Amino acid sequence: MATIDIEKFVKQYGAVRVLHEIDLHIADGEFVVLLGPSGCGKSTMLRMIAGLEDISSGTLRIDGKPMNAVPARDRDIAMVFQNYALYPHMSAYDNIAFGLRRLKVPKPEIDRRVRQVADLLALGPYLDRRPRHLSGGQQQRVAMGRAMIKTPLVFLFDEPLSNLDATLRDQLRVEVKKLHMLLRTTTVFVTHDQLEAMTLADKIVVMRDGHVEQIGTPREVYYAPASLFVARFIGSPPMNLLAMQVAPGGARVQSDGLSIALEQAQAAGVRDGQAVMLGIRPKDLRLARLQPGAERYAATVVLSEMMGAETLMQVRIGPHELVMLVDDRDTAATGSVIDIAFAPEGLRLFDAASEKALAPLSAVRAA
Amino acid sequence: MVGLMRQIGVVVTIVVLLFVTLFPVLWTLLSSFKTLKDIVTPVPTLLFEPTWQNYAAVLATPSVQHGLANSAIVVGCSLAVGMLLGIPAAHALARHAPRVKGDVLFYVLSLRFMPPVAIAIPFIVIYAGLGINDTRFSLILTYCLTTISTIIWLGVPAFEQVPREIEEAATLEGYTQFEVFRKVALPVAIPSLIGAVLFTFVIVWNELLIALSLTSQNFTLPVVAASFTTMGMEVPWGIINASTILLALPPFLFIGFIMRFLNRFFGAGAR
Repeated sequence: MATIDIEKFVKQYGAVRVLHEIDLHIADGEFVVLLGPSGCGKSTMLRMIAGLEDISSGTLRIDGKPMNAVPARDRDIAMVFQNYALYPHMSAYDNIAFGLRRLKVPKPEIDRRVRQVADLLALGPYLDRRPRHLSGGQQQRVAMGRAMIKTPLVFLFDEPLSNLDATLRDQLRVEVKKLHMLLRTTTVFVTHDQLEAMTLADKIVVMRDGHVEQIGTPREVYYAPASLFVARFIGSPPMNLLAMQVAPGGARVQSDGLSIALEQAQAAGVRDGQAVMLGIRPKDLRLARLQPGAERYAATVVLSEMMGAETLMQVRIGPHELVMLVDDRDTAATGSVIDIAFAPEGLRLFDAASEKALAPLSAVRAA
Repeated sequence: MVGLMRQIGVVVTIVVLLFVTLFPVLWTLLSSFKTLKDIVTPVPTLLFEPTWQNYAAVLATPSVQHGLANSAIVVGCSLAVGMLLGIPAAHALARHAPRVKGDVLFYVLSLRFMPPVAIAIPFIVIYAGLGINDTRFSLILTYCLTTISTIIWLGVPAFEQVPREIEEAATLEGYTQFEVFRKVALPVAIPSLIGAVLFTFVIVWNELLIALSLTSQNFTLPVVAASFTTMGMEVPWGIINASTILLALPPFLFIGFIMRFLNRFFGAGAR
């Protein structure tokens, strides 16, 4: 159990800076996900916490103790790698037991703990096998067992699920979550998959080009993205974004014949004529009859894709293309014209120039 | 039809190439079991009464016994030193010195560009000055240059094939750099390293020029074998052939390993 305090983390290769003064505080037992596209510096940051990369400048504290000068082997951190990184010349059993052997734990105790971990991860029948005789999912379970067995201060996961097929990924994601609920070990998990981030995290750190875009709970980053980048990156299907202008008086935004009313709190934060991006999640575009009292807009259905319980409909209002997610029973035929409404609590405003969110965070509904 | 012609062409080419390369070896092997009369007969005989006489004569020769012992000691010691220093050096270069790796590898390779005779003469002068000229020790010292450099050169790719993450995983489990090397990197790289060591063994086992220049009493087996050709008026063909076969035997025994190593070594680059 441990807290992690990161202050002004910088990673520099020669003249190239890949991390720019990042601050992050992780509470004891918290599950933090570093999320971002490849090359955003998330893995580098994880490796700096592990001690596998030098910290160019800034400080790392684990449980309050400065760690910059502490070598990786003394940090009491366990890490699960993307490609499993199992020792190919050892059986699954020996892979898991390897760390305990160094600590001179008595043999019966090692055996007891390996079996316990193997039970937890359903690895019992495979303990005698070498890694190359295990499937990808089994290999990653062994890697997780190896990380768990020594009850480290911190767990680090570096895209551990991205080499697995979709079904296995879902299964193991649930297992990671259960393990965390059971062990409550402080965890940092790196992924580029926003679904993984949303389902696992207590706190998501959205990163881009070595900067932090937003730190927040999954709900905060989903409902109140701090920037256009986060708005585009989180959510599937992605948020609709329309380039608009604040109409004189500040109570509405408009563009090409489309004019939408703002809520009072939002209207207070804009100035006349300001160029903005209006964001709305596909789920917050409703059929007008389900949103009584709201302004109605006539929209033409361009395409509808049945996705199971829900249907994704591409609609057009004038020149604006929007995507809405409706209950499958409410699907309208392609080419038909339907009345839709913008759920007022779902509207998000971003400054077009700075790409930062304009809505005060207090306006975010607590879901 | 064209396909068939092509196939026949390929097979014929391979047969011719194999014949050209293997026939002398086969002839040497056959001749080593022949009496001198059978060897020098103008019409080559394929059917003959095999004899162990040549081998018995070779092995009974004091210079051969002496040479064999010297070869075993010199090659054994220089290989041992080469492994002891070369393998850890290869690991260090592969893992901890990315910037100097290329330069070091080129330097190591460049040691092999020099004709052996060119370095033999300065060595004679140095060893004479140190009073260790014509000793096994001086020969071991010289061969260490070859063994250390060759093992480094072949060992670096062997260690580069070990996934870096597994060494990092062991580090995070609390193992020191040396323990990571000994318990993870070494066992994983060992199949390639065995090949590297055997390859090096063949190079020093067959080495003639430096041994010839540096020794007059403490000669090695290749020197002895070479000296047979200059023995007296009558060329002892049977003995030459038998000694050649004996000399070639140890490397030949390892050829399976070496082939696997070469496949691994060159296969990795092609993949």
